Amino acid sequence: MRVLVVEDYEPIREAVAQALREDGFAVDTAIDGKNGLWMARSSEHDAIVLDIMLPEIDGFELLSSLRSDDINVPILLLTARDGIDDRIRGLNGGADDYLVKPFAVAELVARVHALIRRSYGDADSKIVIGEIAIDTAARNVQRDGKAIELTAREFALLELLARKRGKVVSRTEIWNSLYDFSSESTSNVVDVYIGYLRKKLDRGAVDSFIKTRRGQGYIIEGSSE
Amino acid sequence: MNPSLHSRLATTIGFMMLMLFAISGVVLALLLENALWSEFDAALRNRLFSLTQLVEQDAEGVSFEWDEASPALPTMFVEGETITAWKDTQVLSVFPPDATTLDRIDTAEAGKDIRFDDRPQLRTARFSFAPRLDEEDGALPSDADVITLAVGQSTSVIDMTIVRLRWTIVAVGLLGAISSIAIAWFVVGHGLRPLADVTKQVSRLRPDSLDQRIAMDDSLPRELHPLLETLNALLDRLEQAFEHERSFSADVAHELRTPLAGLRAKTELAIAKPRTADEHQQTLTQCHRMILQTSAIVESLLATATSSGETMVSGVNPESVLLKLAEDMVAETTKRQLNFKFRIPQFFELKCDPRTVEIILRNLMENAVAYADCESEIDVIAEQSPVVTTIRIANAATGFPAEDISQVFDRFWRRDTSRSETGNHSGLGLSLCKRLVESMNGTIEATCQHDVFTVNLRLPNAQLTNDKQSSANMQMLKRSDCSGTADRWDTDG
Repeated sequence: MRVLVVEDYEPIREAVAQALREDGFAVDTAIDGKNGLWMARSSEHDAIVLDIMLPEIDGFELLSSLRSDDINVPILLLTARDGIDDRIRGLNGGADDYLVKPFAVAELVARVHALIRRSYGDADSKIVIGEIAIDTAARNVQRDGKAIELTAREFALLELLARKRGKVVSRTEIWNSLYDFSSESTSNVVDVYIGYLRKKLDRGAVDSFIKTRRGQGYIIEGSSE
Repeated sequence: MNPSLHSRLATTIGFMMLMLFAISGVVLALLLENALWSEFDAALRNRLFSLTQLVEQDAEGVSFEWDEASPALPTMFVEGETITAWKDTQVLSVFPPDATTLDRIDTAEAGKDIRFDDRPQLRTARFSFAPRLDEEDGALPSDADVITLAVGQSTSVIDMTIVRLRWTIVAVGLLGAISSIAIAWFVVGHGLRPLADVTKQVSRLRPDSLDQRIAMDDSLPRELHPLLETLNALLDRLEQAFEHERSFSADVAHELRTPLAGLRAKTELAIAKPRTADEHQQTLTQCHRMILQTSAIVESLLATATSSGETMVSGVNPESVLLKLAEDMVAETTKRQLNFKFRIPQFFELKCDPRTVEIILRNLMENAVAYADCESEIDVIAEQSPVVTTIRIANAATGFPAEDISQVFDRFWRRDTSRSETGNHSGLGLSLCKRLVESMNGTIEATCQHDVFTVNLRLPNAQLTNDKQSSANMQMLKRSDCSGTADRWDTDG
């Protein structure tokens, strides 16, 4: 999952980005509204964390520009203003959630997860496909009731495929979700992580949980139970 | 408890009416009594004259007709009347016969004015005269005798009438006074009702409803309009002050929340999982920077909050202050390769609070150092007229947005809204300067032309405590603005 953080105040920007990365997100950061708008338009993100008081273009204006471009990515507004008018303006302008500074980082991460889950149409944080149960809130995976240890990036890859279950997800799409602008990895790394996941999830099963569609990408078949 | 205006006015009016009734009653009583006595005396006089016609003298002597008539005859007898006639000291007649003799004094000459005297319960009238002569009844005396006739009339009826009259006047007076107090109470209450309505309106005002004003409709007496206009003007000022404080608090909360959010995010992240020593070191460094920024905001806020305190006026040499401040900033100016260029006349002194002047100049110079283009000069120019001292601080500011010039004295305004670019600047410095300069009856304005940002500071040479003198100073400042005697600095130069 890939998140864009647009915040001019460096300590907050770094802390939020680090917290999201440690939770398995690929995170792009922008220090002003102009850069933020450019990054949001040039790459697909699963969510945007957007400060309101920004240099160049403020958060409200950026939000309005994205919505008028039909970019419907979930947006979480961050602001130091807690006035009702500001909240109403933000939510009416197309924001999906609102968080007032100072906030708990864990709460921000949880809200980003919730926004992404809702954008994929999942009401529950638990996804059960066959013998595999994925809890995106608790960040754990079980097979037949037994816990499987995954790294943050492996979990993020599994969550992406599980959310898009029944659909083929291309390598480029996976790479875009796992790595931010600054990453220099190649798409080959996707195959490597798919290999790690299969080894941990399949545990000697005949059919792999993650199927390969040659020349197209990867897919988890089935629907959530 | 103080008496209400209502009771005070009603009591005053009631007391005045009581006094008016009392004086009027006394005057009326005196006039009426006098009139009664005049009527009584006139009747007595007429009676006396009519009695003189009943006295006759013939050869045998003086005869009185009432002695010959029966006392029962109503024409001769008036109830309560006593008649006495005497000649010299000899009583000639008393009527009724059993009546007490009236005083035999004053054998005055005939034709003298009637003399009135009072005896207990009797008012008497005396008259000396020569009785009528009976020519048919024999020889006449050679000289007519002078007879004194006195008639007394009981005053009991008139005394009772006067007592009744007095009591009537007292009763009417008291009734009138009481009625007056009641009427005054009602009238005053009616007159004060608009004031009570206004009081109700004012009492309904709350800090959260300061946008309301006291209604001034046509039903209110015009005497109240100046008071209500003053009250509404006061409410305007109160609302502005409340709004100012509310907005100030909101701005403060907003500005403090951002570094606090950074601190919270950084520390939460640091303790969320085990970190290396380097990571902790980096977190602490960033936290320290945020604490410094927060401290700068708090310091500026404190300076703003205390700027309206007592001031100490003494001679200040701005040159020494400016040079000292430039020394304090040498680290930053060296780092940014800035150079101060001073043009300050000699014998230059201001009469003002040195602390305030230092705060103003420090903020202006820090602002110039923070935002001047690197490798540029900061010009500090001072001029002095007999009344006003002008200090201009100008720095190169390439790319300064001209549309922002009107906001530079707003609280928390920063040239670059990205806080990371402005170090520990709180955005309160220029706002604080404006407030302090205004407290000194001076003016401050900012201009930006040809990429040169200039702050013009004008201070009266002497800080006066008297309002009149301060006002005079302001007038002089305004005149100097209008006439252009305070030259604008050529930003190109």
